[in-house]
Amino acid sequence: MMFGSGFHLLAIRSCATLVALAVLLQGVELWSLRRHCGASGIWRWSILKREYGRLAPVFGLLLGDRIWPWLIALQVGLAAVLLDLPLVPGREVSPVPLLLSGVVLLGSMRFRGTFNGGSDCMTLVVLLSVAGSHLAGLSDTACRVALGYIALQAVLSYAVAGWVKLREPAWRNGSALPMFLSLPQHAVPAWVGRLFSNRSVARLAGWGVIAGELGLAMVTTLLAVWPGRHPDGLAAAGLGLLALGMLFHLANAWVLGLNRFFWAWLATYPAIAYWIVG
Amino acid sequence: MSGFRFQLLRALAPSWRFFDRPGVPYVLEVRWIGGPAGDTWQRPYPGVRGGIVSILSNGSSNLALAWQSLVEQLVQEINDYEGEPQAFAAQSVGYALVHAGLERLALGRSFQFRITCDGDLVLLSPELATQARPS
Repeated sequence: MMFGSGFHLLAIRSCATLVALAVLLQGVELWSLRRHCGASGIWRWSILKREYGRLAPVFGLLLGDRIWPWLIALQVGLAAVLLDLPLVPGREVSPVPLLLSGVVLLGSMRFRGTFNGGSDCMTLVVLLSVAGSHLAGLSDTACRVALGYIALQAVLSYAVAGWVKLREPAWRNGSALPMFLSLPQHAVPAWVGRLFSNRSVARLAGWGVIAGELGLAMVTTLLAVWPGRHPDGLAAAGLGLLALGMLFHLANAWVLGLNRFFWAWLATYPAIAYWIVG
Repeated sequence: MSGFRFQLLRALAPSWRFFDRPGVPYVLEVRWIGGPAGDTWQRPYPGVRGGIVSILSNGSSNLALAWQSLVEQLVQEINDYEGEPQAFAAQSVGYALVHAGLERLALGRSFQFRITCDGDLVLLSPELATQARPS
């Protein structure tokens, strides 16, 4: 199945809208934590600047304790502007995605690289791809390249995460999940901890995670590599796996507190769906 | 002065190896000297369960995760350090950040912190006086 250029634009615009929502929520969250980055906070610039070498005075202008709340406010404001762009776009090119990418990268640097690990990385993957498509005038080629890169990174994330779990005996025998769920930083509900302390349940769930991650990666890869020559139903299976993926991230957000991952990965789904059905 | 640390840009270089290998976590604990809890070691920033709204905003939980990352960065700094042990605290950014974070909670009390892994001691700070006013 092939679609016209409106489909590329709709897909890239959907990625932009969802990543704008993710960045907006991240900004609101950082605002609630801003005192931890002040002059008497944890991540205070007087300490952090030692890692910037000769560039410390320059970055101090962007990341200093007094500037930090303004940077978060700028993040929220730019995200709101990106959200407000029309959902069914024309070819209006905007500098906002590029500016927002810079602000999000600076925010990650304030926490020595990332505040929330992979979710910061995926947020930047989507933002920079959207920014690239705008810089290239939202041409069909630019949109397809951007959507391809977002989908590639998202599928790679499932493939790598699934593969390393498959190679790990603790995941195969069911002992990994209870160990991860017992990590004190996650504050998992007690009944979830009890449920997965049953080795059979944990083994089944562990294999389910591995199968889901690798299954989504494989189906999407097959559809992208052999467009139009795949068996009937494979695209439907891909979309079904995407829906399961969304539920998986939702469960992680609720059980493990990984809410940022849910929104960051959701922003990649229009790109994956584009390659599945397009 | 050392140079710019390119690790600061690691958000641009994803690895995607999530939850790959379960291991015993590094645990940061603190004891407040002279407080009612006496010599009890306690976790300073435990994970916090959020309600349904936590899908939108989950600051406390993500702060706990960021603290755990900070502890793991400090352990990495310890493992990479090749200088005089006495000079580590003065040179390590991770140590200074953990110190600063605990000082916020000290409410004027002196304190001591440690990092353990499966009961093994990785780091034990000296007893530290609070210099900053509680905020």
